[in-house]
Amino acid sequence: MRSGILTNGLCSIEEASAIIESGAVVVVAGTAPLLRRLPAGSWVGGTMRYFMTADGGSQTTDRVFVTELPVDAADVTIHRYGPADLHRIVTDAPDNGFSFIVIPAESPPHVAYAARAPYYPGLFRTPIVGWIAGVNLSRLGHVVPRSINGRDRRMETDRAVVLHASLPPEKLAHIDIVNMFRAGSGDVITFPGDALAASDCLVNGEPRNLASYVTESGIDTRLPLVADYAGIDVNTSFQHVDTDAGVVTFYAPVFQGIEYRLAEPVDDYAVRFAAAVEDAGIEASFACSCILNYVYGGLEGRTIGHLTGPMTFGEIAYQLLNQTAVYLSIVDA
Amino acid sequence: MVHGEQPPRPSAAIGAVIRRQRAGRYTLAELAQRSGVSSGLLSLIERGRGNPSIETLQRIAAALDLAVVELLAPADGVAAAGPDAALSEYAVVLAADANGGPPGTAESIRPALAGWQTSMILGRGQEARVRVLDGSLELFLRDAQAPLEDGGRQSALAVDLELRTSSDADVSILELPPADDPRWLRLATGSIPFQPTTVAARMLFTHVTRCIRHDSSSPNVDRWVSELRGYFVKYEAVSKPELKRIFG
Repeated sequence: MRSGILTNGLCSIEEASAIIESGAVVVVAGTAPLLRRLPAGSWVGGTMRYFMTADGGSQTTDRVFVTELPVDAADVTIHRYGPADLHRIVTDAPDNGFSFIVIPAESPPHVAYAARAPYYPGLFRTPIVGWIAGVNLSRLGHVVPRSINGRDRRMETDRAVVLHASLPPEKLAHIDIVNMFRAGSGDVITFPGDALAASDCLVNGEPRNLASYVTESGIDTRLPLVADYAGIDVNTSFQHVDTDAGVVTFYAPVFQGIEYRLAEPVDDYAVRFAAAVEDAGIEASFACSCILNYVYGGLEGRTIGHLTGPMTFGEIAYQLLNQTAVYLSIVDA
Repeated sequence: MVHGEQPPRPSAAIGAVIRRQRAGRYTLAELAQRSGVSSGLLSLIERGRGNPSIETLQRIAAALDLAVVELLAPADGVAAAGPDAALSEYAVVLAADANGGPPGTAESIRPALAGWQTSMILGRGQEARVRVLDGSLELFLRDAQAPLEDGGRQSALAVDLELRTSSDADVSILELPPADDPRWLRLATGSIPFQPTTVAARMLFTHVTRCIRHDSSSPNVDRWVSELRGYFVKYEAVSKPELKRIFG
């Protein structure tokens, strides 16, 4: 296993290239032109320009965010998966280790993973962490997010790239989340099926059209829906409310049989997030957080405790999450 | 005289004490460096998700300039145990100095020590604390004589601690029930109270219970029970306390 001080921050292309050429195993986030300039090596990455650095949130197109993972290149394999074979991420994963996934936003594997991952046999005993690659927010719909396999430097728009890393028996991968949101005390919302877009729902047991309910209730859709997963809060973020069509779309699916409540309002995202990060006592090998918090919370130039990493279009800690920080630690078994 | 403490999640209480003691003095990384305990494990312990050995606790305590007993000090009140009280849940016993000095001796009760016994003589105004983490411990109180500094003797209380049934030992020999054991189904349907401690187990448990609630056909139930058991098969080594709570 690799040890010592590992890079986790913004680097110039020259610095990132040197790290890759040293044989390190890394995850890289940056714009597509920058990613194309990196040499072949044991790395995966995706398009992203928003980052949380030690100096605060920033966007950059002249540096890349490099996270060096504490594993040896010999213990790593890198795979590509389309929506039809994405479930193989579990069977291809090492017995002891972790899998790092990068999926282009809005791509078929993004939709497939969001909806189906919780049903992959063995998913929750396979440490999977990663993020959804994005684009310049002002160019949404015009530019396509990409993932990249650093071994052959091939970029993908419709396939997930996954780095599977083995760990020695005395080490374990630990994946956890930090959620600054708490469920409010308002209405309980449930859904008749798993969905990334919903029309019908039950509000406190009464049938309602979700779009009408959201509009009539004046719900602040910058706040996520929050569900209690056996003691942890899991968010699902609103993407769009189409009152004409009566449809609400989400950035991650809602699931049948789970009760959701709107999150409590947050006065200051940076302060609340920093408190949650401090409370979690994170010492992560990798962390990422959500672009929605960056935008809604005005995090540009502001820190969220000591947590650094890309601000992504979705976070993966086993399943797809929203408005949540996820992180990977390597701990003693 | 003798206190037995049974917080619902002792590891969480220990983690809270460590975090409180660290706050404002050291960062997590600094305490990890001082104690020689990895920052990852330290983070887990602080969040009540680790299962630290007594040796690890001793290293953390030393790095914080504390006695181990101070890490194990109760966050809230202390429940007194009466004569012949049977206490459940122990693994580590902090014994008072036999002469009634300040508690400071840490003893780790290991499975091999099933049947372990010790005694303490407590004089007037002296007290001992027994930290109960996991297992089952019985206390027997009897009259005794304690030595005085001038060579005389005083009336005192003897506390005999005896490990009658060692759930710690049970944990070490606990085997996962076979897949067809009905307790798996009860666990999967939420009939057995269970509070998972990892994010993976919490997510899995949530999906298992909701999926079985939605479709209680045998194939679906078997599929999700298998999923739940598969998690514990993989993480058996680090899930023994949870397994003990579920199946013990």
